[in-house]
Amino acid sequence: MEILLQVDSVGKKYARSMRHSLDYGLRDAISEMTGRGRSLTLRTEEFWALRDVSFSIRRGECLAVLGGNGAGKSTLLKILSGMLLPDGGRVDKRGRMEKMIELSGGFSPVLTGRENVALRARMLGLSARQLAERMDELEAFAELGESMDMPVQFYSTGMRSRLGFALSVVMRPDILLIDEVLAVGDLGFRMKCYERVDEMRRSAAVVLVTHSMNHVARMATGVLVLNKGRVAYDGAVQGGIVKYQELVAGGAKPKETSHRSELIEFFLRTPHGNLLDGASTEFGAPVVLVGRHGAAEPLTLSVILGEVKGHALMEWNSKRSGFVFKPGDDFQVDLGPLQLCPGLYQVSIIGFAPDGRQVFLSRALSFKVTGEYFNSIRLQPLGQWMVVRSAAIESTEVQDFVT
Amino acid sequence: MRQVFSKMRQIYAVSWMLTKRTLVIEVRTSRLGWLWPLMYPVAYTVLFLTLKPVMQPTGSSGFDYALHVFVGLSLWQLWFEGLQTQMRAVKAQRSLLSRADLDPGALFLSGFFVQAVYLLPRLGLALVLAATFGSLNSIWSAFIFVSMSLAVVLNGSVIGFVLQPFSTLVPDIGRLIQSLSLALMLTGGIFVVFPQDMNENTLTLLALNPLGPLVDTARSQLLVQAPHFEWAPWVWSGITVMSLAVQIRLSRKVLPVLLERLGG
Repeated sequence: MEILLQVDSVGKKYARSMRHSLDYGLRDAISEMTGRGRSLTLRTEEFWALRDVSFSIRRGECLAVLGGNGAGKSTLLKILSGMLLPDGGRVDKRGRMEKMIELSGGFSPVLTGRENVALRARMLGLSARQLAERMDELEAFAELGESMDMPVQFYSTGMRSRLGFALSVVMRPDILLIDEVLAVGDLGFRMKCYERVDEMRRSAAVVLVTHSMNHVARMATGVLVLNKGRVAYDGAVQGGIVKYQELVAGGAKPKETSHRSELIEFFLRTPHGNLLDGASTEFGAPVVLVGRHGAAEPLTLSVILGEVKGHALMEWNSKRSGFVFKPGDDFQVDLGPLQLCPGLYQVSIIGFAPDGRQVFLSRALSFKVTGEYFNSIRLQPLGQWMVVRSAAIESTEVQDFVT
Repeated sequence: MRQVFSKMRQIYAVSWMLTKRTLVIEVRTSRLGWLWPLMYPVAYTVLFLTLKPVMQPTGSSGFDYALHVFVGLSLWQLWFEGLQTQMRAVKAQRSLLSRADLDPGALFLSGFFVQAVYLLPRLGLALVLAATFGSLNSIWSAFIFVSMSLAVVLNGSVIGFVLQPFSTLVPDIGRLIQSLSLALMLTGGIFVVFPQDMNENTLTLLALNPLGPLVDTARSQLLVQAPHFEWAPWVWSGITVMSLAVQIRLSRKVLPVLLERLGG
């Protein structure tokens, strides 16, 4: 398959202040006019937003570009789309490019949806005949009905996005740039969007900028991870997801919210040994929590498993199991196989006095779960899948229908 | 060669679509619509006629002066609006420019076409008045009048186009032009009637303002009088066309720089 997009050592500088930005803009404009080209050195108040980024994409491939806020994803997308000129390197494109970026913008509010489509399509190089051929397809896709002949200023944001999306999909581009907008509208319309983008993915080269690992796992054939403007990873999808999660979570240490943490010590034990703070364990590995508390009164314990930057996911409460631990007791709880989506998690323990008073909150022990990424749903129990006799579907009783 | 023609055809088609868009928006959002191009020159012509005994008691009067002022103000307004439209074009169309590969030439042409459309009712009224009251004596004069009027509009648009990169990045330039507008009107003879026996040095100085020679040559066809400037209108026309050809090429290189600095 031919290479449709080739990016070689692309770099981009920005100025931190508006005054400098306009001044440098004037100098760059004069340099462009006189054919002198741009300076590769940093001027006062400038910084590299993107540096030495290289990759290539063939027809039928989808490259997901991941990175935290300020990593350079949008800058890269703007360079690829031609909105920005790189300050270093070059971009070679073959064929027609379509950009799914801020779909609800760029329409003339006084003109109708149909008129806006006609204007945009002609600007993108479609002839009047080609536009006429595709207008029916566009109207059917956008599902705007009579609203197509209303001024766009009366459209909701969702309607504008649908119009913008429909316009993008009927252009049949060779290169498709998608900036966080994989689907818009209600659920039914979103399914249509996914279906169409999937179709386009097979016949075009796609660059997908997204924060959704679901989309990455589902659509990408490769991942490029950016960190502070540089390439941190360029390769297979699963590896890219892991790298991205490391970068995003590594930058945000869990807040130290312990209380009297000296009263509890614990560790997690796996078949491979103790799980140290920040270490990895595989998906589904059995984990046992072992610990000792030093409080002066009997306690019930609550073990909380949650995301490093987010919500609690599971709790094991000794009170529910009827256990009360006396001062100095060693304890153990089998957490079972940790069937969690690959990512970063933490475990902490709360000790409660018999009267319900919280006695201590331990420091969190964080760990990483590794494995194949399917989607972003955190709890992914394997369940017990089996083939059953067809009668099982019709029966209202729980019976053993294993064939 | 085929690609060049195909590209030129596309630029023309897009610029015409943008022109229609601007005109449609004007018509849909304005009750007075097509009357607007005439209101400014007609209203100010009446005002200047009324104030002439106070402002310029000597010289031509009556119909000749009215036509002098009407044509001057019509062309001035389109020259100035064309200049400002081009200077602001990138900022005004930033959203469209960042979503589609819009050639700067198409953007320029659409601005010029809009001004040319607004010129039509004014030219029409001027020609009808001149023909009715006997000062227009040949088809050739009418042709020169129309051509020079278009040259005035083109000149203003081209100057704005050349200033566009600078005015986009340095807003002070736009304010400077605004503050010079009265000086441009006075030295351009927009409503002032220059005496026929002007000093050569004064004429040369006045020729530095493109409005003076171009408007004077256009107007002289209707008023059946010798133009004040001999070579200046043709020099300015030549400079206009050459500047346009150069600027279209340069603007393609500069446009991404402007969009980048405007942000969004």
